[in-house]
Amino acid sequence: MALSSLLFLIAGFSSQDADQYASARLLIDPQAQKAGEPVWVGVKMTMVPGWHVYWENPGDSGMAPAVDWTLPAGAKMEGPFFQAPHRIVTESETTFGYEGETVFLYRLHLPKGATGSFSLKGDASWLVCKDVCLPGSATLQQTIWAPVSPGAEVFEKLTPWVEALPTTFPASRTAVFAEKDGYGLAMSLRGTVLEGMEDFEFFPRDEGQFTSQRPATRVGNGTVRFALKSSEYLSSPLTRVRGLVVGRKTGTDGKKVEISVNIDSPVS
Amino acid sequence: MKKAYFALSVAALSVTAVALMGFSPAPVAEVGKAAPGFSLPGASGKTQSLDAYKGKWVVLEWTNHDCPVVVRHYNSGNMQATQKWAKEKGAVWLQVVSSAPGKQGHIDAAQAKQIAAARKDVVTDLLFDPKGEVGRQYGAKTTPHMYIISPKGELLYNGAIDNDSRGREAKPTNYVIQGLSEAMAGKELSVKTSQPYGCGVKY
Repeated sequence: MALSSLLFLIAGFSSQDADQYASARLLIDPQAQKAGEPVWVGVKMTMVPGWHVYWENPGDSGMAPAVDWTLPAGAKMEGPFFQAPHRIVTESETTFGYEGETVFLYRLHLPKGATGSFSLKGDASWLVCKDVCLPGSATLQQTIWAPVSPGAEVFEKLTPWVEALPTTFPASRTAVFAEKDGYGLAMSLRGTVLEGMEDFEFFPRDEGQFTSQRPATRVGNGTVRFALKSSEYLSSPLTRVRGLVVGRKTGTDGKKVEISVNIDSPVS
Repeated sequence: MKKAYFALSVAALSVTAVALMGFSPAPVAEVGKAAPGFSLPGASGKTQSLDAYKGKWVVLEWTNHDCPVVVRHYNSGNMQATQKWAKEKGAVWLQVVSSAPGKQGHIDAAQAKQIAAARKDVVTDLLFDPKGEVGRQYGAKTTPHMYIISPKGELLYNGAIDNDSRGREAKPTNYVIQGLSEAMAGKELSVKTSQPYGCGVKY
């Protein structure tokens, strides 16, 4: 008994209130829903400057947020769907995550013909880091009326976040092949959403495949090529590569444009 | 002759440039090769060298007592149980703290002893690597990050403690127990490396 109190005491001395550094809110946007289609649900996280939470592949360290949903009978939750991350580079490590704010999106499939109100509950937990890492959690709860009506509580539109989600890049325009020190990824951009982009960045979606540092990138002739260096933890040849590619350009109006795509390619 | 000289001087320039940019040298530790030697002060008051443990199985555990992932493994008793298992098999267990002074996880001998007593750690010693030299040689990325070294000094395992980064698996595979069991039975490790998970080491 005394020992466990001591444990708690030690933890108490050194831990801080993680909710100071990151907070989570549940958003449901019926405007983003068409009748009979799944409802977009978002967990919006807001971080204090300098602090970040992680992408599905956190990189060299860290852990993506997770949500345990309690759903009404017969309902299904699809996701999470991640926004394109940023590379967070320090002297000793490179990780993938979000500063400022981001929304982790989910799609709620209500049972056919569901009517009336019900409660949606999500137990969210995360790691928020700056130079220290702190755990955080929140119980998010919302009453929903089915069919979801414009009268339902809407704090903020999810549409911009839904539209920013990476789209699937055509497999026919993607080639992955083994090369020295790892793998090459070539993408042919003409006629795709990435055509005209000037700068490209690759993020590996699976852990333990590639090093986290930004891979060498060559752009030209309507194609982009990445040199993906194998991770020291890769123990056998890859047969499939999944990644997220962000294309960026500055438009004629001076506005920055950013488009992201998911690639999923067998290794030739 | 001229070409070779030019290539050499370019190479020398690149190496210098890299050194000036402050990049750490690439980690020396490689599974299947000799584990990098080290000599570090321990919380016990002794200086511990890897050499002194030739002939013994050695487990290295990079740690930071404030990292929530480390806390999870100690609160559940999982880490201590793994340490105890290894000890019963005659293995040496060395924790290593590579947190720089002022950074999360950096502790002194008194704090180390207090934490170990409260958590009931079962370790040979805790080693202080505040400059991060040994951590960088081993490529220690996260806390926890685990290594297994054979009695001959060969690095057998480099990676996560198990396959359960979220602590959700009903029956996680403990790579340290699995690896040591296999190695002690004279078998090759079925998992020699795995992506380590946890907080970044606070170099």
